[in-house]
Amino acid sequence: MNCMRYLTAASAVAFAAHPAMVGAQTIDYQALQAVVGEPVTTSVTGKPQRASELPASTLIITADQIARSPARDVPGILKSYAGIDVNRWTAGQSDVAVRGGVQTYNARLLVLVDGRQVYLDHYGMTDWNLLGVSNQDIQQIELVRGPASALFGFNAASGVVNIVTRKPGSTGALKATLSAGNHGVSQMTASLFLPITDFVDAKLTGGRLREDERDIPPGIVGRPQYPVEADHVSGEFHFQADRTSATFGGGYASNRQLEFLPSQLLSNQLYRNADVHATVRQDTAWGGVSLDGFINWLDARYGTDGSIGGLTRSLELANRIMVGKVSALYRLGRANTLRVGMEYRSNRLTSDAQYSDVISYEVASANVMIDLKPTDRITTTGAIRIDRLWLDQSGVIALPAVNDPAEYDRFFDRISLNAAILLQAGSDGRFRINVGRGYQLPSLTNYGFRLSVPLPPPYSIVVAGSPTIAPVATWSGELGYTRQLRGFRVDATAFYTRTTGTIAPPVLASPERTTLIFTSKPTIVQRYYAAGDYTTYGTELSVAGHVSFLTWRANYTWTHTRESLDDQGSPAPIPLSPSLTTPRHKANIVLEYDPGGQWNFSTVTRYTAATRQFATAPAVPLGQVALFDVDSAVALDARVGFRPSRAWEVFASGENLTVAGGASLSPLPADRRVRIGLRLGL
Amino acid sequence: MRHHAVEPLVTKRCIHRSSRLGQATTEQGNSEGVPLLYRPTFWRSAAALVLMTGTPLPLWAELNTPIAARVLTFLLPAPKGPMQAAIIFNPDNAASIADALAIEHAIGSGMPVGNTVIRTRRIATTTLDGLRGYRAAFVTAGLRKEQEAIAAAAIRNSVVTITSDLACVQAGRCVVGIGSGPHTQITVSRAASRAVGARFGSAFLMLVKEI
Repeated sequence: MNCMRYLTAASAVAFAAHPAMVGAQTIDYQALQAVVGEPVTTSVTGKPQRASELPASTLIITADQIARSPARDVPGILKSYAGIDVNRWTAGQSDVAVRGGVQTYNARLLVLVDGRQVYLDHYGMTDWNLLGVSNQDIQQIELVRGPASALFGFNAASGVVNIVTRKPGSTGALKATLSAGNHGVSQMTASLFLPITDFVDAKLTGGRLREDERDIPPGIVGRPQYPVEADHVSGEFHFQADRTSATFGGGYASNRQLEFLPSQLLSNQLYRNADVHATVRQDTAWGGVSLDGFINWLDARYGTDGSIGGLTRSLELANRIMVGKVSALYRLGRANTLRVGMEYRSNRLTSDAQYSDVISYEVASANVMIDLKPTDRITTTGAIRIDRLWLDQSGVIALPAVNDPAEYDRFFDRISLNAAILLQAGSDGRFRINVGRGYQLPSLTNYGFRLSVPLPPPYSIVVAGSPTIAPVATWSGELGYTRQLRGFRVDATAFYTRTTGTIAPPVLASPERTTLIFTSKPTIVQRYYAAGDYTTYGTELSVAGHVSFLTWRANYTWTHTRESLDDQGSPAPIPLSPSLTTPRHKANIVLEYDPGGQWNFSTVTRYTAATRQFATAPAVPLGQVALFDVDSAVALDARVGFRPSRAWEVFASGENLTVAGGASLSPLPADRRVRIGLRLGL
Repeated sequence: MRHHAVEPLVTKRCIHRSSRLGQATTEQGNSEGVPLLYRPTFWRSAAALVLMTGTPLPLWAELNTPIAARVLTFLLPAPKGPMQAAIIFNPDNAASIADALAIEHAIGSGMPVGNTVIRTRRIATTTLDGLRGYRAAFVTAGLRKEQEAIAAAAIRNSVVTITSDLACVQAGRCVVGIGSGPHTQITVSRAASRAVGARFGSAFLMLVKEI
């Protein structure tokens, strides 16, 4: 096992050091967009591509669109696009799902900032207030719908979001935003761009967010309500000389918020995350080479009010992720591209609520992507990636042991695939056929969690992870058609996604999957388990265009889900049902008016069909998962800005102005949040 | 660096334009005494003005100057500070003059792109040796007959040539071609690039059509 690991690492080093391989493209997204007249991304195949020529259904939201959006964070921006479900469970907690599969702590969407993972491996989730990035720092948001594991590895099972931040230019700049509103909303962000020499520049950013929690209905087990408080600070140095560029940086972010856990218990959490990262890119005549590495340190405290959901003690988890990767991009001839890459990942979770002190794994990966253009009208893309994971545990084992230690000494391989063909139809139309297979990795918590839930004597319950639980596989296929007409663009996509072995949290009182350990105090063990499969299919229709200074877009998504999930004979529903929690119909209409003068306006009108969502209802002796109706909603978001000069803008912005309770797709009804603010750009 | 300013030459040919589009004045100079309607420059100017302002379907593709200027930022090493770019034009060709005017209008007193500020000066096709010292040149429309000479001069002086005439790129005589239309199409001639010793960033080359 170790031989294989070290061989992989050695290969990666040798690969990078070979003189013929020295050399990856320097990506200046803003400049490339300006020159080709449309957004550019590397998130689909790893090579820079125009938005109109991508082999997967991809969304690229530009800095201008973000600036005009009424939304205050990234999930708020994403919610008005086709195929995307955004559940704002509480004031701070949001989950973004692509093409169905809505659940709390969505583990199937990989989220990156500048290619660096901000997805949290300890629980398989994204804390959108812990990104360490404010809206004003974003150059563009890229979202690939469908599995992207062949490029990004585990957890890009339903898609990937890459947030590309602004890079400093040749001149210094200061950007700041201050805003305040009802529900105690206040937000401050600032970014300073500093050229240091002709070759070196720096970026410093910081921000703070505060807002009050939403009201909790009486039928849901509540917790003490503290305001959401999120802070971040980060710094980066950029070096650019001829064909070589490098970035070194680090940051710290914290977030305190109330959340629904996957068990649907409400709990107060505090997350603190620090990171260091470095990237070196060398551009060559034939393509280029990239070296990337980062380390994330997460400290997560669950139940900061003294208890998780009022049922168990609070706990603390410390997760360290270390990743190194190398990739090379070759231009084969004039129109073809080959990309090869290798990655090594070390991931360890330390906690006193585990099977043993440390649960860890290492992953070594290799991937190949080829993009061929046999004729001017046809482009084909294929990608394959193999990941090998070694699972391990160390330290003192908590007693009574709920697993054989040998079960943690194992490895497995998974192969991810993507293939696509693009066919030019006439001068303005394009067909896209795309298939893919990706994997969601069980989180470290799924593997090694262990926490006692008090019961009246003589019994006790242990909620436990399972080292033998398998990665969740997702198969996806899509057929898309895009046509650029005079002044507007039409996109239509039909998709099919099948997810197998989806992981459900432990089902309390499940008669079929209860393990009894007879000690002095008999212990009932309930585990995370593979609950079954579900299939999602549907259509996404989008139209976008502009008339004079009015930019408009409209979209409609129909999503249908069939599921076959095993509730283990539990009398209460398992807190997982994509068919009930995913809205079947969604529609959005967005209007943006910006003549470039002093005034600009934007509105977002959103419709979501009724759903049912899970929460924990009071019951004796333990709370019990129950379904709550969430009404269909028509929500209106709006923003108006006034720019007395190019340097600053006064704005007023509101979300859910219609006070539609179902607009957040949460058991906690949505409220209206309005704020006024000032944007400064010097 | 030696630049051959062209404005005096043009002035001798009796046409002078400010950088503002459509502002043309005839000068007396050596055309004094010739009735206005009989002066060739009058007709060239009039044709240029009509073509630039009144015709819905232009007879030539005007260079998309903002994009052409941004293409230069992908040269390696990346240009920094002020950068002089030549406008190659034929003073006897109305289309060429009109294109030159449009480029000058777009650039104005200097167009900041990336880490550079681009400024332009005209170079007549009759004085192509004036390209010496320039790193880039915008080749105006209507210069099919002169393209061979322009290419030779560009190679001699290591000048990256950018044009709206894709035939020039396809023939390997111009380095970069910028197509018109809503979908920006940029074509780069690998042979012409090599000939003038130009290198572009690989990210840029992956987004354009290289022939």
